[in-house]
Amino acid sequence: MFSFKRKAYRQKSDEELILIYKNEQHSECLAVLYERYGHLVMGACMKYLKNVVESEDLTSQIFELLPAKILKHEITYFKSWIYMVTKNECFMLFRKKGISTSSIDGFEPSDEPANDDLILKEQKLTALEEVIPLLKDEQRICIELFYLKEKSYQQICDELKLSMMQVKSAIQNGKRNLKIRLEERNEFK
Amino acid sequence: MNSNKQHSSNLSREQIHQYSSTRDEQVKHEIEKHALENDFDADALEGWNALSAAGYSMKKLDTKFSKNYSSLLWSIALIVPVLIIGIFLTNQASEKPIQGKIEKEQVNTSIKVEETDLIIPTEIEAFVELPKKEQIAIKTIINDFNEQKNELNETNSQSNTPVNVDRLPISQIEPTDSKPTTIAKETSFGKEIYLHDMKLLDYRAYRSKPAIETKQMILTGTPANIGETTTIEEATEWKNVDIPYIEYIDKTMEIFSKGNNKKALARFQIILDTYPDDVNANFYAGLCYYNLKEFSSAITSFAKCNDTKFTNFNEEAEWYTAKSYLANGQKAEAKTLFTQIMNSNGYYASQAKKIVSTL
Repeated sequence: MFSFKRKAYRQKSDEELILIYKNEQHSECLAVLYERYGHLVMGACMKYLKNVVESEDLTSQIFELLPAKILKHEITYFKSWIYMVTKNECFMLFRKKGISTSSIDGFEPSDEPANDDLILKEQKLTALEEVIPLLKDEQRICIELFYLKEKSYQQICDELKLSMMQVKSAIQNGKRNLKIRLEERNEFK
Repeated sequence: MNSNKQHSSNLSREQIHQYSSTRDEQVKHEIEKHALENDFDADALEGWNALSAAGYSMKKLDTKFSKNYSSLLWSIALIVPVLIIGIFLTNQASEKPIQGKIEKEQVNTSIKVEETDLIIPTEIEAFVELPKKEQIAIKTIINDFNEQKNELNETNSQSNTPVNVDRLPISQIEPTDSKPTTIAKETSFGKEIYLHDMKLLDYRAYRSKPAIETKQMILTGTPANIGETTTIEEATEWKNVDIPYIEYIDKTMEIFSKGNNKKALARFQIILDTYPDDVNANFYAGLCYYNLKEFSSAITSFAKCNDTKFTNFNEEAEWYTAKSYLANGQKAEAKTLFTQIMNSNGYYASQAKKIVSTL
C-alpha cells in the first residue's frame, strides 16, 4: 500500500513533502527525501570525512534525526538546508576528534536557494566570452577549456599539467569572478 | 512546480556511477558541469570520486531509510522478508546506485531471487580461495584488456594505408586426389562487448535470442504477521525461467568484478549448462577456478576457449593456462607454454620472457 503513496509523493516538491510531514508525520515523505538526497549527503560526508564507514554512519545519523529536525525548523529550501546540516555534522565530528575545520566553510544553517543554481547558463556563454579574458591566466585557461572547449577535469589536468585540485579550484574561483564581473556589467541580473 | 524542477536537477546516483565508470570524457564533462551548478552536487561528486567509492553500494542506508522509513514498526516482525531482502541486496553486489532502479523496486513489491543468490553448489562452496595477493586481480585483467585494445587501435590505424603488393602469376591447381585432405577449423574474431570493463564475446550477434535457463523465485511482500511463521520454502517456489543472456552475464560479471569467485563460478556453470562452448563463461570460469586454487579445472576451462571458432580469448587463455601450470607445480609444461608465448610476439610476450628467465 505504501508504494502507491510513495509514487504520489515522488511527484511532489521537497517543500510540499515537508509540509505534508509536518501535518501528517507520514514517514513515506522522508523516504522520498532520502531517495533524492541520500547519495548527496553520503557523497558530501565522504568529501569532508574522507572515510566511507564514518560517512555511512554520519549519513545514517543525519537521516535518523531528520524527522525531529523537520518538525522543529522552518525549512523553505530543503536542498540548501540539508547541505548545511551535513556540513555542520561533519564539523561537529571534526570537533569531537579535535581536528581543525578550516577546510569546511559556512556552517550557518541556511535555507536560501544556493546562489550557484542561478549562474552560468548556456545562453550566457556569449556574454561570458567577453569577460573571460579579464580573468587571471590560470583561471581563464581552465574556464575556456572547461566551458568553451567542453573538456573534462582530467583532460584539463593532463593538458596543463596541473593537479585535479588546482583545476577544480581555478574553475570554481574563475566562475565566481566571472559572475562578479558580469553583474558589474549588468549582463547577468 | 519550480521546486519540482529543483529536486529533479539534483545530481543522480546514476550520474555519480556513470562518472566513475565511463571513459568518455565528454560524458564526464557534462556531469562535472552539472555538478558545478550547485555546491552540494559538486561536493557529493567529489566525495564519491575522491574515495573511488562509486562501487560502494548504499544498500545498508537504502534498506534503513528508503525501504524501512515507512515500515519501521512492521519491520520488527519481518524476520523472513528482511532476511530475503538482505540476501537480495547482497546479491545486487554490482548494484549501481541508480535512482530509477530503486524506484522500480519499490513500486513493484515483488523480489526476484535467482538460484545462485541462495544456493551455491556444495563442490564450489568447498573450494578454498587463494590468498588475495596470489589471485589474478581484476585490475590486472582490466588493465591487460585496455592495453591490448590500445595496441589493436594503433595497429589498425597503421594498417589503413594500402600496401602495394606484386601480383603473383596465377597457376593451375594440380588435382590433389591422392593427398590426404585436412579440414581446417573455421575460426573468426567475434564481435566484442565490454561489461564492467571486461572483454566479452557479444553472442547477441551469433545466437538468436540467447537466454539462460535458471531457477528463480519471485518473492512477493510477505505480510509481517505471517512472516515469522513462514519459511522461504513454504512461502515460495522455484520456477524455471529464461533470462536474456546479456542480462545474466552482466550480473555475473558484476559479481566477478567484486571478487566473489564462488558465486560467479556457480553462475558461469549455469551458462555452460545451456551453452557448453560459451567462450565467455569458459574463460572467466577458468579465472575463478584459478583464484579458488583449482588449477587443473582452470586449465580445462581455458582449453575449451580454444575449442570454439571464436579466437577472441585465445591469447589470454594461453597465458592463464601457462600461469595455471606454474601455480600447479607443472614447471615443464609451464616453461614450454611460456616459451611459446614469448616467441609469439603477442601481448604477453615480454611478461612470458621474464618468467621463462626465472624457470
